[in-house]
Amino acid sequence: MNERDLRAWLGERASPAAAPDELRARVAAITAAPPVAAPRVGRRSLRRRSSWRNGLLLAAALAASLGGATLLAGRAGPTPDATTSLPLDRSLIAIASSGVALVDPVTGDRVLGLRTPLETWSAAWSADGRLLAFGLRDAIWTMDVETGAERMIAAVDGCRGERWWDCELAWSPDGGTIAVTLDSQLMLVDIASGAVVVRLDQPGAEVRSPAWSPDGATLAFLAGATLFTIPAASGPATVVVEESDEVWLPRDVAWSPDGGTLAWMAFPEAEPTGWKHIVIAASDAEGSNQRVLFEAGNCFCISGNWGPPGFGWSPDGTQMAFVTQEARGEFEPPSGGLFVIDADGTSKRFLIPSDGGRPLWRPRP
Amino acid sequence: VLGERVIDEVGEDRAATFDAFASRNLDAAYRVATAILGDPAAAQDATHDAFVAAWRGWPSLRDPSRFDAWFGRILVNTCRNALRRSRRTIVTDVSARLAAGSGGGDHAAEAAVRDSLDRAFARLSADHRIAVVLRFYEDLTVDEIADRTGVSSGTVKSRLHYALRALGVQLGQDVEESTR
Repeated sequence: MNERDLRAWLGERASPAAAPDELRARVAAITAAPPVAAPRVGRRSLRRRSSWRNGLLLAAALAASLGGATLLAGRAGPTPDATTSLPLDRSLIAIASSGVALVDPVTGDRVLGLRTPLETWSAAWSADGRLLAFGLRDAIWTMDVETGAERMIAAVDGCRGERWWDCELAWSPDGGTIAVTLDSQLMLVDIASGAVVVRLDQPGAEVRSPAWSPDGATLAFLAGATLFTIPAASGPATVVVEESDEVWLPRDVAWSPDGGTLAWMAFPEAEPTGWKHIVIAASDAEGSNQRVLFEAGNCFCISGNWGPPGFGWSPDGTQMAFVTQEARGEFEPPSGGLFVIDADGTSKRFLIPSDGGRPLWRPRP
Repeated sequence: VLGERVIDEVGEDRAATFDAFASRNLDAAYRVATAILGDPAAAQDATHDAFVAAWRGWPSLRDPSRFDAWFGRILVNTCRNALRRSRRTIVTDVSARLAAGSGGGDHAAEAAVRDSLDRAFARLSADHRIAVVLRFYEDLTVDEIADRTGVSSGTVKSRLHYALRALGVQLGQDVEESTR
């Protein structure tokens, strides 16, 4: 069987020359139908959210600062946009969303913007909270958030950071290794030598969301819609959670700081409107005791205009930060935001508008 | 470009623009959905859902130059949802085709090839089906498929490689290299 056979078969399979009249009538009726409200989250977050106009202004300011960055020759890395004191005991959330912003988790103040010569969605904190790692321009970079000193750690072809699915990073608790997921592979990058080792290759699956256990012994990751753990040193991967009717498309994984719980974002089936409802789910580290922790909001993930939702645990385990979207009205753009919530699912608070990205809570040294 | 008009339109203008867009793209969208799902009724529902999603999401389209990719992405997502909802219920009836090919000769051989493809394609995952249809029916490049499905180019190549192997399709060298 050859390519010609396949093309002919596909052509025959898609053989109707035109859509049936019944479908034509259904589609023609779409714009005539009365508006149906898109999903909304609780009123509390809506009250606290800045207006869309304010969001645009802030986004425009950030874009302006990012756009004003000097494009450095060759493999230029990120640079901070100002000299700002960032003592290590200061709690911060980094959010990589086509640039990186450091945000105060209590006030929502944008403390510092990190300018990158290209978009990057990939970032990870070092365990001591001094450095951020980035995937950018086919390489892994680190940057001291206090001084702006940057260093290219290793070349990793394809890790461009320009699109959120290009590659994702996680820094080991001992500071010596950065785990990188790219295509079907989980790689380990040695910080000191720059050596890159492929730890796992799962052909045919998209490997994403690496997350180190707090003791550094285990990595969690997603391959397709399945959540695995794998010993960092050697040994096979183990399935923790598989996609099912109850667990839909897990996305973005995080360990609790005590190492006892794995949490992930889950998308129950998309609404017909294209909205995806998002929950934060969790299990014990080996996959038992699966449960939904709380509802986190929605995303219009299929639009192609928004980054992915994401979440992260606070260093003391009492809170989570997450990025999701809210519908604003039938014909208004959805409003994305960075939120903080207590780990028991109460006291949800809006921080800043955000179009997507993974919130990264600065570790405590 | 139709998409450039979208952002500022309101009310009836917006509906008229959407209707024009739907009219222009309906046949092609239905054919793609049929190729992916293999079931006309499911394809109707998925196509309708895609246009509903596009209408609801119209204001979220920020970059008019990505208009086609935007709707294409919505369409493959609705097809993927349909497959996941009904992965055990969508079947392709090949009895008529087999009967037509029962006379022997070239027709029988063609029918056997198509039957083999029917069966193998039905066993593919949603993501693998979509990759094959976008590459060999819509003629998209690997990078375009990556953009439309929200995965990396490497993953698209991997999906195509494994899907074609599962389908038992041998590619010419130039095509092989483009999907490697």
